[in-house]
Amino acid sequence: MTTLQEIRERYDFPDDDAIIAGLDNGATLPVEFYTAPEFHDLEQELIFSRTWQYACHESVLAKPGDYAVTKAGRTPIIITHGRDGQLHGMVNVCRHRLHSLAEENGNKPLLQCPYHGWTYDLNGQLKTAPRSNREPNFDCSTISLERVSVERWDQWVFVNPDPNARPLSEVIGEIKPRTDEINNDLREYEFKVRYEYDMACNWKIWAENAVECYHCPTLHKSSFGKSYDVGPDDYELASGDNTIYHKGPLKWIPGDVDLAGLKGFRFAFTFPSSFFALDDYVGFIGTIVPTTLNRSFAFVDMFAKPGADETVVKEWLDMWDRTLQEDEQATAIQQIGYESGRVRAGRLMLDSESPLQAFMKACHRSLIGGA
Amino acid sequence: MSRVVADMTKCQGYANCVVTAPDHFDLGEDGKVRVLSQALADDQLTVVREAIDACPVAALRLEAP
Repeated sequence: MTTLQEIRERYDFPDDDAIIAGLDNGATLPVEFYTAPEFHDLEQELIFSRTWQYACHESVLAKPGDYAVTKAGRTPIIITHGRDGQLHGMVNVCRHRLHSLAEENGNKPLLQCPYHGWTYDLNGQLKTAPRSNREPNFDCSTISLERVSVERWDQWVFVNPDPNARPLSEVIGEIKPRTDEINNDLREYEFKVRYEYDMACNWKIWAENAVECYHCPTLHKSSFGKSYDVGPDDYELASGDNTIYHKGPLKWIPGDVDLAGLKGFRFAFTFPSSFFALDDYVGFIGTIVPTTLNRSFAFVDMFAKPGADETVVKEWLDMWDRTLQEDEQATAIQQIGYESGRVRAGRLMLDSESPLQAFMKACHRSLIGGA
Repeated sequence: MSRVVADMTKCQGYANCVVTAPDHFDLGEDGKVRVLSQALADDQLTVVREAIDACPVAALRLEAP
């Protein structure tokens, strides 16, 4: 793996002390972090192979035999509800010829590779391999799927490709009191639709867009920015080492709805790429997966509060799709700006964009080998 | 009542039967098939026939009542 220092020598961007000083003073990360091809592998290794990422709602894994497939960075993952009642996370790659065990969610008593039939129990232990009795010294008990870490964050199931990952509960401790409240309110919301976005930008550009709302009054003036108070005195921001929190009051709802007593918009992000949010009508959870250096994929599971005004829910689901499409367009255009190479770093407005600074520091800290 | 019978000398542990009809078949510790209940009601025949057809080494057969 090429190190950050080796990439720096190739492209001649500032040293780590200068990058940290720059971030402290409101500069962004150098543009090479978004355009130098070596960063994709480095980030897969140092960020996406060892951080917690959203996989699915717990209802997908409600009973023994249920399994869910997902991806964290470039690691294909299968999560099972074992006969022992526990969730098990495994790399979704057969130990025989590296085919996946499943491509879609389902329920089975065993995980059988559809290619040659190697069959594992729900804990990932190989139980049988066709014709193995004709192979001298072949012992199923010595072969099992590679493990990953899996943990619940309230009703959400998160995965970390690192089998010895620092517990999710520790990583998110700084934001837990706030997300306890969010997830408690979200628990009754019902799944409506999954939105998917294939984006022509580096994953960090989209994540950065997600964690600041300085752009909301302009880019989202007829969508998100119309619906919530996004001014600096109304919109609350808080950042920790690994998490970011937003809170903003509702200011407009379709129809004649009294806004008094509504809780408004609340948003939680955990590094590197997963987020959930809700207001009094809809909620969502999603994550970003880097595809290549300059392409990313995001999925967002949308939920609605049972019994909420159907007109508002319909309008709100549409408002969120419009908001995310506006983000998709803006970040694709930013990518062109980054690739021009003519601007070496951006300049943050720290009063409004402090979460961006926290996100970029977390990226830099990870890439120099810190946790 | 029809019965499903496994020929353990033929079973190679493909597990296609378990994946096809998990209520009727499982794998034993030896990696070979275990028939969970031999006697079959009429409404169970379809899925068990699918499992029998899915066996690559014809280790399963249905015996008429």
